[in-house]
Amino acid sequence: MTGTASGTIPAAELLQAYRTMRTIRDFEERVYKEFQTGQMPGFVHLYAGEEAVATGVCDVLTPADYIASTHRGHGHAIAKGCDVVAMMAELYGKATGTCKGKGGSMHIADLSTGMLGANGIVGGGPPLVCGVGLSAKVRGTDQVGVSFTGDGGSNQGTFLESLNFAAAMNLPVVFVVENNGYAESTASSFHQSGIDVAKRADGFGLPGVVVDGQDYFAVREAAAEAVGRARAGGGPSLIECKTIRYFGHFIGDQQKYRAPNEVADAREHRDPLKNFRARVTRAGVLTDEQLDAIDTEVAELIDRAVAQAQAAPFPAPESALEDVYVSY
Amino acid sequence: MTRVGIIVNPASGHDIRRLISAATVVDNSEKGAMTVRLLSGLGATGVDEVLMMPADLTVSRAIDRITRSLVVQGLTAPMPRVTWLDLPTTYHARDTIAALATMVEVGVDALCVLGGDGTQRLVHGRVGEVPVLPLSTGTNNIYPVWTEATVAGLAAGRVATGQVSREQGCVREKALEVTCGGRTEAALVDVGVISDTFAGARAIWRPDHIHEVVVSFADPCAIGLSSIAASVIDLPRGSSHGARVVIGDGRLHRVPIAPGLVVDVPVAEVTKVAVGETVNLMPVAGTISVDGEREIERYRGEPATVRLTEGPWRIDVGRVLRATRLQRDSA
Repeated sequence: MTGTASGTIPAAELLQAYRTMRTIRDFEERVYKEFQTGQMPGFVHLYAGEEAVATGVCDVLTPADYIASTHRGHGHAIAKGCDVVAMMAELYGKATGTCKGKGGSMHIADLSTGMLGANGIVGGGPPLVCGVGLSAKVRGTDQVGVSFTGDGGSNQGTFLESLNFAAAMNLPVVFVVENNGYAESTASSFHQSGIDVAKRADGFGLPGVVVDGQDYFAVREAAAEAVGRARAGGGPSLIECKTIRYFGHFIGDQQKYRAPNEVADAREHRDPLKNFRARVTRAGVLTDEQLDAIDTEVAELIDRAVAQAQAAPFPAPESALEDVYVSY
Repeated sequence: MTRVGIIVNPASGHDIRRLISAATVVDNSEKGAMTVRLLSGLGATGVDEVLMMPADLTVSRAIDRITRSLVVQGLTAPMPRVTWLDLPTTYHARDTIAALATMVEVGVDALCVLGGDGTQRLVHGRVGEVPVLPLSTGTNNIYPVWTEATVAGLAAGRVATGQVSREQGCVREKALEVTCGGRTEAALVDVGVISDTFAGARAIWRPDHIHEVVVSFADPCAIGLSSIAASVIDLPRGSSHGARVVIGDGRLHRVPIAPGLVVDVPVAEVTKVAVGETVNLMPVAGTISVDGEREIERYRGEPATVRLTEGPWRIDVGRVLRATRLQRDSA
């Protein structure tokens, strides 16, 4: 990561940002399709529409930094550098998966990339990154911990306790709230006291800001400031990203709680990838040809990931008790 | 019957300047409390009804809670009837625009607007000749002022009820109309030529990214881009001119560019701009800022212009209250 202010980001980093967002989008769109064939076990929560948040934040982190994710974690995992082929295999429950096929969508973790894990527990991430921050502080490293939480998760005690703990201990932590307007199927205007989660930071004495989560540049700029300050010993921050999920809470959600044109309108007018492409090409920083080439490469990668996942073996029954805390 | 409209932006005051500088934080309970203070001032001057824009519950419940407490304590000073407009709440600028349109249609004698420069900007061009009291709950606090809301309510009420005329109690502000790439945006304080390619998180705090600033007034008490102009020229609010300032080879001026951030900016040139005059902005690819926030992304070769125009009638609290005293003394 070199550029912080928008306009100083090198073209190579912008190309990589587009590749990450395109990979997340294609991964999710393909999972949506493949899940309906019945070959993919478990529940799946898709991240499509929110790509600019994971990408904008993770683009200012180093490989040594840690993130803690949510049940909607594929985007965070891809943005932090997890192998996409292994992730797809994990969703299929195959032995070549990120967690040897034993975790599935909601438990993808890869410590080698700093991905502490997707998390089936709503609001489960913030306490984990407080641990990261405390560890970094005690050991004297310059690592930063970032948690992703939804608007629903921001109502959990764990989230508020973590804001308090991180502020009290002045930890190098950034709390990213992905406010997509719904806690499962309940609108945030109904379940939240105050439409901006960022305002809750004020009460704990840490800065809270709101940015457009559909805008890669807005997210990245805010994240760069917050992460840079945390790394320099300046303590925690909260960044609330107003974003939009394109699919339901999970695949199969009928979404009767949403306006009929809500998603179509967002895909047309608020899409983070379209927004990014239009702006970087108009500004002459990148060309359509460069971005089209990435589209092609990513499409091939996702095809390969699905093919390899489908062909891979399931974990052997005798491996069921491996990789657990207690050996039997 | 005298009627006043109140606009409260529940979302103001949480932009990136809370990360990069020591920007003000105004929570929504305080916005609710400010509204109650306003109501007491408006009621004391004889305002009959207040039209309220629908607000976030953290604002509206604070209003309800404080109002009930006053009743419980037996403090029943005259208060205007409060009518909440029946409009959808989307937590977007369109809420403010819809509320303004309804208030103008129903007919209000004055407007009170709680928000930052962004909220105040929405008022310009939408309320005709209605006097506006801008109260700050945002970040840079240039156009709206920090004033105790009870006192501000007394001033707004006296203008609304005609006890003090608009000409006696208000300042006719100026505004800026910037046009670039088919877009036209209004500003109340300043327009900047900024070299950041993208609008990003919008705030401006790096002095070397600023190339040119056009201001509607230059007040040495203001913070942000207009403080650069105020360091080289004095143009009080309501005066006949604005100014254009070119940044670059010239004397360094130490200016408050953002809350808690004082930087040295070199000023190469300053010229006055008359109302009605159009200025061609420097041909710098990047962004054009409006009232301190990057708003328009401008690409190579795109021309951009700014025109200084007449702005809203701003209720000047001090001027109204002094006029009230003079009227009383001469009676």
